[in-house]
Amino acid sequence: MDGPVSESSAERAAPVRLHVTEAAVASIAAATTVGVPGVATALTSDAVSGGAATDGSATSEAAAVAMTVEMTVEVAIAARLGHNCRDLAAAVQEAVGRAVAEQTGRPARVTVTVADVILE
Amino acid sequence: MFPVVLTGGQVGGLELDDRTLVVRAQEGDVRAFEVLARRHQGALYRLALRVTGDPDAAGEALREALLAAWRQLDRFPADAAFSTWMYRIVTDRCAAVLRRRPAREADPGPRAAPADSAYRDAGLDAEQAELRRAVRGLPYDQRVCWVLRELEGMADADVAEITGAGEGAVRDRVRQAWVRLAEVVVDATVRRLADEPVEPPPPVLDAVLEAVRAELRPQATLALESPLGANRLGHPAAAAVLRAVVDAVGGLRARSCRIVQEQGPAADVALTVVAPFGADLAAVAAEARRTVLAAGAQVLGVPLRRVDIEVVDLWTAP
Repeated sequence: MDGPVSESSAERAAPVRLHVTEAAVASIAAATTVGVPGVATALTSDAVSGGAATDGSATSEAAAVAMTVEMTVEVAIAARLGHNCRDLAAAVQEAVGRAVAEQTGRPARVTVTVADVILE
Repeated sequence: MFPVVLTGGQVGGLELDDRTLVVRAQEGDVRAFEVLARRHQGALYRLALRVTGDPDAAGEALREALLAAWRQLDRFPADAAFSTWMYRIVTDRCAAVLRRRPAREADPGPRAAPADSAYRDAGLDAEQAELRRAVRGLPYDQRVCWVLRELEGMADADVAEITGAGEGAVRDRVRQAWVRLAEVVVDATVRRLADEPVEPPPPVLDAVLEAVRAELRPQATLALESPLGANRLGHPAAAAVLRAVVDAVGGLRARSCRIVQEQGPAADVALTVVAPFGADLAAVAAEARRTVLAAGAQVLGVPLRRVDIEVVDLWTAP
């Protein structure tokens, strides 16, 4: 019998819960960081306030709370000579924040430390 | 826009004196420490090799000494020579390494050494091999004093400073060592051993620097303005940049670089420099000040409110 395809009752009853570990968030941050022109090395990247946890049920009140809690991501870089440290840090901050939000669904507050400037 | 001259490899290319490098390293400049370590590692390894009599133990002692030096830089005595301070650390580490290797210490017989080893027995005469064995058999305190005095050619006062013993104690130890060694060696053998070229140190420095960088977490940072919330710039990194621009001005050599950012984005900088003898100090200081101000804005992204430059010494070209 033809008819509209509907979700099974099991799928409706058990929404998917996604957990993204701190290590995964740190990997997203590191990979994004090294792609920013002017970054010589990503020295460290840490998600310090826990991984992203989102509930697949869009109407879940708990999920809505989780989605609004910012993660704090700390990134340390070595900068290449010729790039303004303030502007480079801001570029990394913006890129990492955007990448983490896109991939985890949670906003991230990113702080970048320029720990070294490669003079060679 | 004021042109900021900042070229690569400044630290290595300028042949900075030890004192300048120590001050920079004390402020977290790993490159300055690397230059110091590369400059002295050959002599330090030679000492370790002569004291331990074992290339492996000497390499281990050198590695531990360099790492200990980095960690203890804040305790470096202002009036000491870096080499003397390092000799003391190396002899301490040699003692520690030998304590961990009691079996080898107690059995100083011939061992198979690499063909290019300074301690190869095959290519040297039997007397020198005998001397090495005899030196390894000396009590540690006597051995260190004797090696420093007779092989490194140091004065009693320098040996005393390195070992922490009084000069009289140094003379006694050297005399006691000679009494024991006189049974097996003659002066000519000692002189040959002292003149003998020593193999280059093992490649421990890269591992040391890797450990140093891993430990480097900038405690002091400057705030970098950003619309998404302030970022940070490590003080050592900022200081290294400002020192590098000063190094490019009129033969100046920057030593310490203090950066203070108390309220707001602007910072105050205080630099000490060594200037070339005969230079117009006011002129070069003014130029250095201009270039530091420009570097703050153009390279660091930190506006500098005040730049103080203090000439602490003069240098003359060799």
